Amino acid sequence: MTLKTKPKAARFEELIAPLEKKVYFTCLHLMGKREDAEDCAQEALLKAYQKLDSFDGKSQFSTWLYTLVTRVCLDALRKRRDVFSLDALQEQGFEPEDQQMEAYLLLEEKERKAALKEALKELPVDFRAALVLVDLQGLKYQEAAQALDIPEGTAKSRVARARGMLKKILLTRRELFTGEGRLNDERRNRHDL
Amino acid sequence: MTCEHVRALLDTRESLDAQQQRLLEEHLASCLSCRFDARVLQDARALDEGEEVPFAFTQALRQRITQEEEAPVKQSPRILKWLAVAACLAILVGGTYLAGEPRRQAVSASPPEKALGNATTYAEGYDANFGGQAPWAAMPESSVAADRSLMAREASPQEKIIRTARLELSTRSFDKDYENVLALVKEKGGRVESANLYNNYNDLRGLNLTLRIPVKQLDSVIASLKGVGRLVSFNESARDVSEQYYDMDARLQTQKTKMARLQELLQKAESVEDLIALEDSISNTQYELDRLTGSLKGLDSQVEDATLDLVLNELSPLETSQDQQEGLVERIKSGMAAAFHGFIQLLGDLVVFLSVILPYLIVVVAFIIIIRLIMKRRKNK
Repeated sequence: MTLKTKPKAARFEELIAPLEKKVYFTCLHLMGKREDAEDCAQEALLKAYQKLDSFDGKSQFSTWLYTLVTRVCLDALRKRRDVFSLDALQEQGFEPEDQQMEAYLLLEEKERKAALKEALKELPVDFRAALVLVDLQGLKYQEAAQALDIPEGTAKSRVARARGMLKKILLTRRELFTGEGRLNDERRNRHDL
Repeated sequence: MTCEHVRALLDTRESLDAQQQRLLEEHLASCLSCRFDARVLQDARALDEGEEVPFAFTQALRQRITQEEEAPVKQSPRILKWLAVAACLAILVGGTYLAGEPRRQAVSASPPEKALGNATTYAEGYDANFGGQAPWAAMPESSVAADRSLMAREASPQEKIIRTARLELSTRSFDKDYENVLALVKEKGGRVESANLYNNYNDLRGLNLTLRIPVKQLDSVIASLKGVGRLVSFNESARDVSEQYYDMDARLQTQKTKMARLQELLQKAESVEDLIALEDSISNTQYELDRLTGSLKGLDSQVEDATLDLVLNELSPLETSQDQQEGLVERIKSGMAAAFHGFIQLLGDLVVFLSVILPYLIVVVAFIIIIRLIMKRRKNK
């Protein structure tokens, strides 16, 4: 039995099996709150099921799905009145200090990841979305652009600027780190690279 | 290798060749900022490793999908369906009715209007087409006869009365009744002065006859014609031309006397001039004699033979009989035949209506298809 001849639910299950986790965590990182993320993920996946017959196969299913997911999350964020546009002042006048960077690098992976998750929430939504799709989910710039319905160049630009903002947040907001930014002397000399 | 170059390589770190990897790592070892960026990117890509989707989420999603699959296709409320059907039927019937309007307008110029126009007693101008029953038909025979002939009394010999009548009849057995009319006229000593046979609406026939009936037989003929078909309208007029007639007759006598005198004078004429003058007068007098004689003869003819204009209309099966003499069964049969005929007419009008709107339908459908294609393309972009 080919995919097309299977019942709709079975087809859908087969298609989303490798993507369900990605969808869930994309929503989680975009929305920032677990409850909101689950609502958006449910809604996006249900919509994908309802519109499954309209998927014409011209693009990859994952790209099509990410488009739906992103749209659902961004709509929800708009309703939540999250910040969409970049506050340009945030980018200005930041020069990372070596000490700050070294301190971050000395953190344990678990602490870094926790800080990263918190820092993501601080990003303006449109930049956050681009970063999540490219750096977290591994989409290519072209796929991310398609999902966000923006030109590829804009997608690249947003990712680059998002990385810069993320860097600034990670290095200036020490309260994001576990232990409230106090370095552990025992880990000071550890190199994680 | 510059930091910018390194950032570009970091995006595709998994697909770098050995040399690129080596160069990258050499740079990272010496550049804290790039090392930081690399670490953040590495952490980002592995952010969700070891994390699992909550089972409750997965379960809830499957449940909703199952519900979605099992949910019956939303049916619009029945009443909406029936309303949609009713609306379609109304459009079809309305359009069909309008398509048949020109035909019905032609009907309005047909004999039933003429019947109303000439009725002396207006109530007599009923036609079965209008669903009414001619009060005439309901009236007792005696009063019918009395009403029918307004000039029922015999004119005195001295009176010169020109009688004209107009009678309109409807019949389903057109040919038979036509023959009956001719036979009746012949029997009564009348004659057909003119006949005009034509096709009415729906290929129904009509007949206009101008009959000359001996005046003494006129009432009898009119009474007999009642049995031929069904009376639609009747009117009669009588014009007293006695004064005109006797005046003309007196002038004729005068001219005759004059002629006799002129003839006498002509015999005694002695000069050529007198002869010429007398012959000229005789000629003029003869002309007047001829004219007056002709006019008197014409009046005599009109007085002796009444003019009866008869209109005979063929009834179609559409027209149900309002005749009280038809029984219930006959009326039901007539009604059913009329309904069937009407249905056939409706189908024909429907075909006409659909043919007329077909070009517009094609344009509308093409327009809708184009719009949908454009919208689909925009959506795909």
